[in-house]
Amino acid sequence: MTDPPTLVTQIGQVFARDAVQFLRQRAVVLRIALLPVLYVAIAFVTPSVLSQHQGSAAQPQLRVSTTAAVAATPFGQFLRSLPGYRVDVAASPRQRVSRDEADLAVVATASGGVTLSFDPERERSRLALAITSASAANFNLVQTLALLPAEQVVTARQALLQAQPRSIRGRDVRKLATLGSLLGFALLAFIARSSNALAIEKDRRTAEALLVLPLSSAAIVLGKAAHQLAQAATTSVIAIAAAIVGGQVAGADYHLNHSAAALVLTMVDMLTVAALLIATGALIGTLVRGVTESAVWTSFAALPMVAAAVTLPFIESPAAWLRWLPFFGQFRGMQDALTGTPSWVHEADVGTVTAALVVVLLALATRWLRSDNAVLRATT
Amino acid sequence: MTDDPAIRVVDLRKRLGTRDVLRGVDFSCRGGRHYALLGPNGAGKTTTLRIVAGLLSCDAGEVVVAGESLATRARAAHRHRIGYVGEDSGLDARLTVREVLRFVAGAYGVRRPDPAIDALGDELHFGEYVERRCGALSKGTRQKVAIARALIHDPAVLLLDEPTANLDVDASLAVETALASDSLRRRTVILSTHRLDEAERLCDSVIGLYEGRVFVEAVIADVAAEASGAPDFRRGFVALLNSQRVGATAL
Repeated sequence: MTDPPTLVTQIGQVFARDAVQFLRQRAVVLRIALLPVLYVAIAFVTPSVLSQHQGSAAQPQLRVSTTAAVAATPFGQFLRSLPGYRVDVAASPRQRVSRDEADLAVVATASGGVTLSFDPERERSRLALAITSASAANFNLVQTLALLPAEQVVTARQALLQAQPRSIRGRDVRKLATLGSLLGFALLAFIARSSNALAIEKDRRTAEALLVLPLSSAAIVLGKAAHQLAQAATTSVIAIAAAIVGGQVAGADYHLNHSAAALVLTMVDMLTVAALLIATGALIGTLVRGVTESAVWTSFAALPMVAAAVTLPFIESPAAWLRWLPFFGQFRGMQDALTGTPSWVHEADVGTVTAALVVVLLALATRWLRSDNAVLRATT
Repeated sequence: MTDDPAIRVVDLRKRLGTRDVLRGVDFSCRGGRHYALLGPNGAGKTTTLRIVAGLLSCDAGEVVVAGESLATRARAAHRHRIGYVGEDSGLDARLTVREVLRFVAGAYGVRRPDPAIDALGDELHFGEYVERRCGALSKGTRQKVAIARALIHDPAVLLLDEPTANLDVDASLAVETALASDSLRRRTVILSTHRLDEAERLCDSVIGLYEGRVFVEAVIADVAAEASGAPDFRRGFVALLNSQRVGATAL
């Protein structure tokens, strides 16, 4: 007695089949769970820890030279109050500020060698960045201290929101490039795992037995993608938890917004990016002959994503359409959410574009899964 | 057994890359009979079976199963009528035999698969391994489970693509025993094989393929006669095949 299953049931069947097989690889499951913890440690915690061991003092080294007039302002007093920070009231030889503007000018000489001069009212962002780079010796925008707009000292997070530093020079470029590359490699893992979910069926010679079943192509593609997305969701939760706990353990106070809305938005960003990567991987998986070929194509597919991750943060004034661009949009969304201004509208914008791309990629994968070329690649 | 063909293949053509793999394959199979699909490597046996199974499309021609053309019938519905076993068992190594068979039964919409799984385990002699992971099974047992997987939804037609290839003697015998079981005897079976002795033991008729065309379609007992004086089926089939090769060389 047979009763043809619905599409949803079929998706569930494929999902369960893949999930059981995955969970039976305990060592692999453990390593995958550990991976986001290691990535977070490398990307965020390690630089902070290392920066604290630079120089003789335990505190980050920051030397700020300014004029007496500025030192007398609330900002100058604020700088003086910071432990481990030195404020020299003598004018720096590298000071390039006209005397007319002296009371508004500050020259920050970072311990990393970055020297910037600027008008604090007009170029608040560059001051924020200079202090950030000096204090944390890493690209940690959240830890930015900004010049006070007038009379009060605001918290680092509020200052960042006002400053929105985008101008990045010197060591920070390299640091950001490193972080971008790291992010790119982390993204690679999602594409690779998704494409391997199909490619490995070909290597294990189980693809033919799967394709000959009356399961719809959409059920096979979506079932596998759903399993990968479930893994990505788990990974995202671990990554966020690791970032929060790791930051506390390492003594790096990132002033992150830990509100439920911010964390949910961050999760949404991570999952929409993961969904796009998984859909890309699914398409690759239908076209390749096996895991080896899948690895090659995954590397090629990741190239533009790595390039975007590395270059987009350097764009000083991003065009409005960039906010809609997947990856960049989610990067900004996560940044906004974690630094205090979560935006559901922005999330909906970039989420819509990403979802449309995901649908297109999965539709192509579904269409090609049982094409003659794909079947021949799966079975020969 | 009925007189209507369970499978009818008409002028089947398929080009893969630059090669015409099938150049007009015609044959028909009656219900409840076993057919050996024989031919040298590259003759088109696997491609023919994959098209009949609905895995590949054909460039021209028609496949009719139980009176319905594959061209007009939805692929999923077509697959319900057919069981397919490839050269590799294609079992998920990390799943148990029961889990594999439950998954396949679920895909076919079999409501209560466990009684069918137990019955097939008893009949095909792998019952003691149903709770064991497939990766821990011998090759012969894996192939028997693969046959059970193709039978779980009780199809009218079973397609077997070299199920004993790469198996040792014991494993081959185990699979042959499974192929001779009652479950298979009542179905229409097309068995693609290189082994003439296997074809002779397990099948009623033979379909010979050479370079994408059928060169003989006959009851096994009649093959020797068709080869004009060959002493037995095996020598008769080889004689017919060689005549094709001579003809191809002459052309």
